[in-house]
Parts: sequence; C-alpha cells; structure tokens
Amino acid sequence: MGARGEAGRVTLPASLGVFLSLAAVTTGLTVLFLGMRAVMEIGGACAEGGPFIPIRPCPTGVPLLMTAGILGGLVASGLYVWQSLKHGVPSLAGLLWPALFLSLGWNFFEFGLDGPGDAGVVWGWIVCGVVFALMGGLPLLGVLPATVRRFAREASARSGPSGTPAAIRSAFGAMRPGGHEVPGDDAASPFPPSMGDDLVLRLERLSALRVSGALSEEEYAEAKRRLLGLDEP
Amino acid sequence: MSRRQRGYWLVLQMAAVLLGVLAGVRLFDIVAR
Repeated sequence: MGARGEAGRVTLPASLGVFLSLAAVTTGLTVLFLGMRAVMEIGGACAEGGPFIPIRPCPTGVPLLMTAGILGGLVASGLYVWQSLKHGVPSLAGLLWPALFLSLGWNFFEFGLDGPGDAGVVWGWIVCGVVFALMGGLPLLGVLPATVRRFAREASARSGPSGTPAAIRSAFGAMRPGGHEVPGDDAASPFPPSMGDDLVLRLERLSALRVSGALSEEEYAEAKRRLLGLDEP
Repeated sequence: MSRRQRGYWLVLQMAAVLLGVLAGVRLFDIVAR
C-alpha cells in the first residue's frame, strides 16, 4: 500500500482515482459491447484498409472505437486496481472479467438466435456464446460472494503488506498493552508469551470479535494462534 | 473501515459504473455512424 493511512479513508485523491478509473473501465467495456453489436449486425466481420478489398466495409469509426475500448479498458483496469489497492478501498475489480465475457456472450446469444438479415439461427455464434457464458459465469460464482462480503463487513480477505487481514491487524492494534490502538500501524507482531498477564482478556476480546462477525472462523483461529504464540516464526 | 465508509465507496463506484456506461454510449453515438 503506497499511502500509509487508514484503509478506505474517504479522501479526494482516493475518490477521484477510484471514480475516474472505474468510469474509464466501464466506458471501454460499453464501447466494446456496442462495437461488437455494430459489426455483428452486418454479418460479424468487416475489413478495411491495407490489402483488404472492402467488400463489406466496417461501420464508420467502429474499428477505432473497439481498439481504443480494448486498450483503454485494459489500462484503466490496471489503474483501477492500483488505486483501490493503494487507498485500501473495497473494489469491484473481480467483477470486471465476468462483466466483459458475459456482456460479449450476450451479443453472441442475441445475434446467434436471430442472425443478421435472414440468417436465422447462427450456431457458430451460439457456441461462442456458451463459451463466453462459461468463462464469465463460472468465475462470477466465486467472485460475486467475495465482492459482496468485501462491501458488507470489514473482515475481508484483503491483506496488507504483512499478509495479515486488516481485521486481525486491527484486533491486535486494539489489544496492545493499555488498549491503545496504534493508527496506521500495520505491523502484525504477535505478543511475546511474557506479556500474558491479561491473556484471558485478550482472548475474550478476540472471541467477541468473532461472535460479532468482525472476524471469520479462520481469521479468529489465526489470530488466536498468534496471540498464544503458537506460530512464532 | 466503518459501515459509512463502505457505503460511500459502494455508492461512488456504482455512480462510476453508471457514468462510464453513459459515456460509452454517448461516445459511440458520436464517433460511430
């Protein structure tokens, strides 16, 4: 994380970075989606320039838009991931791949079932639609619940530089001697066994975090092990 | 991260998606004919 601060803190740079990059991603996806439809309406292929004989010229501006949509979308996706990671913002990045393949797959199905002109059912496109639906739909089954969890509660799978989920780091921070949380302190150093005077209290607080849902079972178990010094390096 | 912050980021990103789609449609209308 580049900017060391509270994850997800609302700031103007973070808001602008995330907003503009994500808007650019969806602009690229939309242009690609519409460009594909424009090409499919004239039969699914076109050519212009170079050695091609323009038997079926491309719709004006569409090749440029589709190229820009693909390249711009890729660059914007990288920027979006970078910005959301940098600022610790819960991200929709996992949905981009399904969005791309499901939207283009939709075009294959729509035009495959009712082909351009009098083509009727175009089985080649339907096969493509099935492939795209699988490529977008199967990852979506895993990504969607994870994305919802990321926005629904703090105990996300997002890890900081130390590889420790934020909730565990937060829990440790809150359980420092004296109970003072150290803002921005990402060091997930476990407590030495010698500091076990209020071990029971810490375990109780950890358990309370689990009960409240702030920590998952897995995170709770990991934090407990660290607290007890069972997985010291 | 508080609930309010997570809500803020969700709404912001939903708005970004909406704006991006509208911008894409508009751009396509302008450039492609």
